[in-house]
Amino acid sequence: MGPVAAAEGRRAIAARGLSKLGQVARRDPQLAVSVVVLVLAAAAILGAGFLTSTSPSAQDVFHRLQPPNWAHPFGTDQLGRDVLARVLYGGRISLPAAVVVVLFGASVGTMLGMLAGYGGRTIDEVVMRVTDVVLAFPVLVLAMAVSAALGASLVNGIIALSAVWWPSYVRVCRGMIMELRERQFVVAARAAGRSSLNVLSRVILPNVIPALLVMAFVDVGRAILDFSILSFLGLGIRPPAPEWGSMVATGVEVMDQWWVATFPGLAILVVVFAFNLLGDSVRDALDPWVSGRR
Amino acid sequence: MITYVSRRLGLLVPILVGITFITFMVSRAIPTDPVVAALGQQAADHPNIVAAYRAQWGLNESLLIQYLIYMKNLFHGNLGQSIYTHRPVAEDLLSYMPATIELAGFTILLSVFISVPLGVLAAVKRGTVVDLLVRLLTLIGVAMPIFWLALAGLELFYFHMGIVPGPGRLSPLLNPPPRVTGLFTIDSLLARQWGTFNNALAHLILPSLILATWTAGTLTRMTRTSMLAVLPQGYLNTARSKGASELYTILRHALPNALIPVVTIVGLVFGDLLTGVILIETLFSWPGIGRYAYEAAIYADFPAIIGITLVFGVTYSLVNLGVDVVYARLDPRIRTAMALGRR
Amino acid sequence: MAGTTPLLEVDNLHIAVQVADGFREVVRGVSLRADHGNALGLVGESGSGKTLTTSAIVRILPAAARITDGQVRLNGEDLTHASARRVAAIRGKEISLVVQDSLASLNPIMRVGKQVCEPLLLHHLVNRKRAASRAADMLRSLGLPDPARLTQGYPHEFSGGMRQRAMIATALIASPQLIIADEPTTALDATVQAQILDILARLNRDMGVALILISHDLAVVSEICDHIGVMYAGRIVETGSSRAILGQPMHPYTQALVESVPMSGLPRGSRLKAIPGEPPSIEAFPSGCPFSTRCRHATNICRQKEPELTARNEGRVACWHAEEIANGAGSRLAAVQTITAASIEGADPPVPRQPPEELLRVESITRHYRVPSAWPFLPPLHIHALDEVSLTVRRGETLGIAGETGCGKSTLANCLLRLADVDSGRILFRGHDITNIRGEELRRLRRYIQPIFQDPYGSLNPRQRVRSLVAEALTSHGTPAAERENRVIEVLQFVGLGAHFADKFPHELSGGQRQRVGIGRAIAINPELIIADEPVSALDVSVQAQVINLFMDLQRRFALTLIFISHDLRVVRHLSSHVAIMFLGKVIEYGPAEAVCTTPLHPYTAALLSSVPGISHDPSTGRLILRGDPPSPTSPPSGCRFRTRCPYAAATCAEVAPELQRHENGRMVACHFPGIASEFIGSGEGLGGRHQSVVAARQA
Repeated sequence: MGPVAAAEGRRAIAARGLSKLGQVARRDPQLAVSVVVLVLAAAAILGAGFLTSTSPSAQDVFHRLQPPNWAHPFGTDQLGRDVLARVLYGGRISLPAAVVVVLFGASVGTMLGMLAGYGGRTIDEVVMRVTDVVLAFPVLVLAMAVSAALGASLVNGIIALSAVWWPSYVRVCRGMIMELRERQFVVAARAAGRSSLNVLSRVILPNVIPALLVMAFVDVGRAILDFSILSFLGLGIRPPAPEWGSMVATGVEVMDQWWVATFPGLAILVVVFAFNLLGDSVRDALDPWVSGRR
Repeated sequence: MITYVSRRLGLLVPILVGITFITFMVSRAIPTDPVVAALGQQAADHPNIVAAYRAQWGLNESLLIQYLIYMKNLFHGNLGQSIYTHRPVAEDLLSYMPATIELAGFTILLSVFISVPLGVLAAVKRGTVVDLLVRLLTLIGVAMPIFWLALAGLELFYFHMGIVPGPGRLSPLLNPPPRVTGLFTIDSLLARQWGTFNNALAHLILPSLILATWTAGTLTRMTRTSMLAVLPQGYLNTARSKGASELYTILRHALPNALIPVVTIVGLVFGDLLTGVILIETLFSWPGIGRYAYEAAIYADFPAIIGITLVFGVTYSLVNLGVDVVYARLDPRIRTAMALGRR
Repeated sequence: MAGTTPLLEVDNLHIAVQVADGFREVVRGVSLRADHGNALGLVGESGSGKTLTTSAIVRILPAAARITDGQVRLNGEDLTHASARRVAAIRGKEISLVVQDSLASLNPIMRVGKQVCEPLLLHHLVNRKRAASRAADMLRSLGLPDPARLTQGYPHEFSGGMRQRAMIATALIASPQLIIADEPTTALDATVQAQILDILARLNRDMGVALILISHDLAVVSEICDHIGVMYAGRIVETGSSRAILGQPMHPYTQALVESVPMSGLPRGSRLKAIPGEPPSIEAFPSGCPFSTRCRHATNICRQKEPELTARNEGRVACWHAEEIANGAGSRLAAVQTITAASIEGADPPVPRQPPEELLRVESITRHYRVPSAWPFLPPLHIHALDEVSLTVRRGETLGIAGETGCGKSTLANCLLRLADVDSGRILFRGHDITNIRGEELRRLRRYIQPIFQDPYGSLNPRQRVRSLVAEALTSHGTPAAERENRVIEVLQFVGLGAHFADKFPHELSGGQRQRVGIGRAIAINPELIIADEPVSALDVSVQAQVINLFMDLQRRFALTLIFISHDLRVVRHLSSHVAIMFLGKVIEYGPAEAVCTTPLHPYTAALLSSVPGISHDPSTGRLILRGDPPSPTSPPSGCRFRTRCPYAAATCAEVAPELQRHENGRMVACHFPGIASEFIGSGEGLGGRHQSVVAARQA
């Protein structure tokens, strides 16, 4: 195949891919919107260097608190820093931090949930009691306590949130396994002669994972939100790091210059909203499948 | 039912032990001298005072013994002294509690009044513009950084438009009503101080509306989902076949069934509410436990933090127990299952 | 009759349903009429439009459905175009509905009494207090004991039969002129079904209420209806008097329906005349005559043009070939009678000298479920799921197990499959004790015993392809991949699916196809014993016959040993060489299938047989209709567990529990008075004073 043909082929594949995307968008506009928003947000955050040439920490005392203009589309803050640059670079902190928290919480929670749901009564009892304790903890108070004890920092914030993030996954995972265990197709798999570990890993888990994924999508949004709350209270990342929550906090001092607090807040709202929407659409798309009916 | 409740109350004990234990260990992880932190540098210079304090809290013993001593004191209602306010933590908590209860209670009331009609409407008009709008609004509500919304609200409605009173529970010129419940709205009504009542109510509106964005968002979504699950049920057609009008069918047969599962997520919503209370009380200078928690965290006031954690943990557990009991009262099927001990 | 206005007239009704790309007509020109004292039956499979038609009468249609043409007239008043308020005024007062699933149809959080009297309140007929007492009266008149307690209870606290009677009470309370009963007995046990049908028949006969009865089961409809309409793909394809429809069906679909039900009289193991294929989905009705794709008489004209419903003989039929078929087919009843005669002559084959090897032996197994008590320090309740059950299954035999809900038949299946543990007793497979084996040993046993499940939807993992489902046991027991693939294709072909099904997912299959996959999965590894738990009860009637035929092919081809569990004695009898009848955790009768079903020794067996709705049932024959519902398994009655429902119960029955004792010809029965009810079966006499006189004689 010559290079031309290969290029043609690639173009054809791309065209087919696009038309397929178009179909998905028509069938499920909600999913399309959330994916587009998240892809745009990710691109903007990753490509922050291309979108703005200013550094998020570059101070410019001569251009303090400027309203949005061509040079500074989101205006500047008290120290003359470009709000747009700070919002874009801020995403580089919030998003990865949230993903780490959810990844940790989801994997630990799922493993404990499997243990509780499939490991016999005693293990179940122990795991669930511990889970109950952590579940009864006020998330923010604990995170605040951890930050207070260890000092406010990015890592401590992640530790604080991870420490309280897993119990909901234990609950959901265990509940689903308990329910699936009694389902006829699982009983049938046992009767076919599969070992119980095989039944867990090959039959039960594939039916649990999609629901947990949906949960995780929504949770990334929640983690971003909680992270920004910690930072807003001065217990997450300390300034001058451009974190969305702490940027809103700096805006408190200059509420008349609305742009300082508005844009980082808007960034939180849009990204968290998109994750929620994504979770919703994936749940809707999976629902008939997850339930095992037509 | 009685066995069930007593078993659940029994389960509360390990939860409380766990909460205090974890918080206590975290508090001891800080590299500061607890004596200095608790008594201040001046008192710490007097060896007698230090020795007495160390003996009372067993600071010369191992961590575990310290914890046991702490628990013993806790059992006698002694939560230690706050480093920041220099008052007993228990006393602080009691004095701040009513403000928080008033704010949270009003928020829940507001949320229910917003959520139930919206959720029902969205479900009945599924797939229409109304439904789309409601879903959009609730998703925005759930995703809202409420500290940001609070700032915007204060700026707009207080500083610029002046249509709501500013921070605090009452205008500074007014005296609080004679204390009965500690809730200003109720106490002022009991004392027939109409002006004070209006003022307290006006102060409540903005913070609880903002606090309600999360709770109302979640509740509306749940009501809608639950209603959608009920609408295709056969008993609605049975009601119609008896000659019931559409409105009667929805309100008398569908809604009561749909609200039962909604009750179960009140516990979940309550967790959000606690987080929100800390933010809103701090921003609105609301003298409640939330603001106390914020200050305690800022000043690393661990006796206070443990006390607050306990209060929040107990409240959360009790609310969830209450939810389950109410759930069983509402749904005769669960009641039967509980009577048979299957739960 | 020409001049008078009928009570209800449905005239050329058309209903369309919204599908992915627009509207599809699913009811296409249905006309019916119902009059005081008449009972009209509507028969059809899923998707035939029978339920939509009747829902349209009271205008309670699903959101996606619209009436596109035609009229419904009640006493001459057009309901299709009446205001919503007017229709609501008619519902429950003039026309009432009784639907299938009484649990789903009753509001779970409202007291039963309130629901029963709701029509009175909605139509402002009486005040609240009066309504409540009317509800209790109505429940009492339907034979429910202690109606005061019932009205204060919630739906889940009652049995299916009690709930269905509460539904009927609701329908009756405002004295409507017409009752529409949509599959009113489908989820109920046979003996309870008989009670409910009896109530409906009496309403119609004695109170003059017009009745429209809808069912997938021709036998049920024929029990009480004087007119029957058969629906297929949204149209009535044949209508006429019950006698004519059953005796001389003119439409090939009706004929096939009549013949696809295994009835008493058909020789055991004879192939049923199953209709090939499945009912058409509403997504795509075939062009021309919609039945042409499944019809053995179909010719070109059938595929091109849809026949009109035209008068012929006493009824009306929509078939191009009705005349030839009617002439050729002859009377079905006559045929059945000759078969019966023939099979009775050849009955009781000589017992072979050496009976085949014992494959499975169950010795007195017991399984109790413990339910903790509500109060501390009180002993837990026990649910007696299985109580000292003993059975033997010989190689090549088919053992049918029949009984009603809660009799323990499914628990027994799970214990034999070793999916559940037993509390005491032994299970021997080929002489080896398998009662308590675990781990690897148990896993190896699974190679020899395979299950087939009831629910074709729930028993297949939605994430596995058919190939991997069928090969599941082979994979688990280490069959090499190449051999596995061959075997999968072979098995798929045997169960009538074909190799191209291997790549499909369960959600792409119909119910019948799924059940074939379930059967294929069980036979793939060539097990020695198959245990099938209600394998056909979730299927459409015509598909049921296909699957029953498949089971017979299995028996013939592989000399399989089969345990076949069903609530439907017709099916059990048709497939089994031996049957065991269970009641409340105990086997109460056991023996060769033919003998047990013709001369039952236990009164419960007699009642079960008597409550089978039979097409060839002679209406003059009395029925042994049991009172009440099966007793609670948490506190079974003392002595004989059946005594509270037994019309023959005597004093000893309450004191001494009868043992399962040997009888002649390898039969066993657990009754103090074996054979007491057998004279009842097949006799022409009504129940009337008969059983009373029997009981009286015993007590004297």
